[in-house]
Amino acid sequence: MATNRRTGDCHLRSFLCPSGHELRVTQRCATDDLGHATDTSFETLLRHEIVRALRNQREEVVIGADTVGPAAGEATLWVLRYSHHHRGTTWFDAKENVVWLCAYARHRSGERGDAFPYFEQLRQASLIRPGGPDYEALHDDRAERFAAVVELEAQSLLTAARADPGVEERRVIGQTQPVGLVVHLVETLEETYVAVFGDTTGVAQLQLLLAALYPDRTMYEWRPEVRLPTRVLDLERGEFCLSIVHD
Amino acid sequence: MPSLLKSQILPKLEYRAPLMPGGTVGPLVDREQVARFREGLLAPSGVEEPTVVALNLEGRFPSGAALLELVLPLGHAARGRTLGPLAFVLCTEDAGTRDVLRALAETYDLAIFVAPSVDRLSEAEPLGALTATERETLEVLRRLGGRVSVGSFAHATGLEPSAATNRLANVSQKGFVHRVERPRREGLLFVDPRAAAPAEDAADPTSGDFSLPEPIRRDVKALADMQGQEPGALLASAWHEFLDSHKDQLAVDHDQLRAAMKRGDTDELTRFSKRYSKKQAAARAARLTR
Repeated sequence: MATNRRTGDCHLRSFLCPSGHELRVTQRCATDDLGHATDTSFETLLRHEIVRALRNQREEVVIGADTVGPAAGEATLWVLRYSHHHRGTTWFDAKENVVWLCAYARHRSGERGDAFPYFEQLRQASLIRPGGPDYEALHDDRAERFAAVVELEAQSLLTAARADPGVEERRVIGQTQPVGLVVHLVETLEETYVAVFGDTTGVAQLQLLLAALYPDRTMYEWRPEVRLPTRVLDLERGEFCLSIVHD
Repeated sequence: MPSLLKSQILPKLEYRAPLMPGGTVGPLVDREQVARFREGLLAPSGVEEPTVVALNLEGRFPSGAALLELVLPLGHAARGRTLGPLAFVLCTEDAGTRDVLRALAETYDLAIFVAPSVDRLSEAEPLGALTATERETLEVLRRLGGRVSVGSFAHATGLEPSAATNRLANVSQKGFVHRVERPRREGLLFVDPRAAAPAEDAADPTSGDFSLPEPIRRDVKALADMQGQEPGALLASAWHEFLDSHKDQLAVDHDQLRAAMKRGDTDELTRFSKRYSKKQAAARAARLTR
């Protein structure tokens, strides 16, 4: 029977899962283990069995059943299996909401070239997790995705908020940046409040968002606020708020 | 009012090495030459920002007299803060030189550090008249990443806040730790000189923000460092401080963005969006290492 399952999309070096997290392959794994260049798209990497297994097994659930090495809370590495011969290890990076394929090797139980001793070597040498270049590529890809959709999605968010004044409308712009928007009407004036999380927002993305919401207004017209008209801010996540008045 | 963003900046790291007659390797015995080098190290007015000077003695074998000439005034300046928030790390692979430095620091009550090389500052050993408790305090501070509030130190050690304050104040008074003011509600920060980072290369063309003024680049880095590390309320205050401190530059950017949007210039918008990727990525990778 055919199922009606939602599926994600490839975008640059990521696979965007419907539940909001991304799948990526570390640059070391892409080059050393899979034999591709560091800038290979996820779509191209999907030719490899283990990357298809990553998509199929981590699209909905970010962790696996068995660990590589000891369980270590948020730092736990998980086994990814494909058939009898292919083994990978994944790590869920909760701060970035990314499942990384950290390493891949063929499984040859008891032999020198087996996957698990190889994973252990990488782990001991601190080479198994993503590093600076991986995060730079991640932030670059997200920035590109954000820039491509921010104008359209910001205007759509504003339209939805205007349709229901006094009610907070929430969206994730560019599948990256959660934004809350409230349009507050005071007689003939319209005040728009924008709230974003300080722990994940980038400076450039905030600037793009503000320009995309009101492209005819200057930055000086945005004012800091201590709360949204509808609720207090989530200070646990460093949420902050700006507003602008509009005729 | 003290700035949250400025308090986030790590001590500035500067590298210096004494000149040698005819090269960079050999005995260092000329006291007058060493004295000239030392006098040229620092401006008489001292420093305002927390600064760490790494003195590279690798390949150099100073005599006892030359070391005395070099280290005594520097160690006293660090101990007494007479030239501002300065710390000195002497870098030498030679065990004998380290032993002499250890003896000098204890005898003259200096505040200096010694590291095996300039690449291994985080392993530097504090030298001076320190008690076992003070050494332990410095070790905990180093393990915690080199930057603590009284609250985070108390939490990590299980001490009462008043005891944690005393422990940190002791090593700060002896010149081994920088004390950084923050807004009253947030409390003081104590920073280990061994956490110092070299100043960013302003001329790095691979950085998307390299054409921007230094203060905004510095504060973007401070914000990125705070994300996922500092309490959310502090982060929200830092964002407001950032938006207020840089409103003129942000307004210029905003106008450029509006123009790019009007032109439909997607390349420019993408370039702008990637502007700080490198800084954000570096901060994230550093958190992972810690």
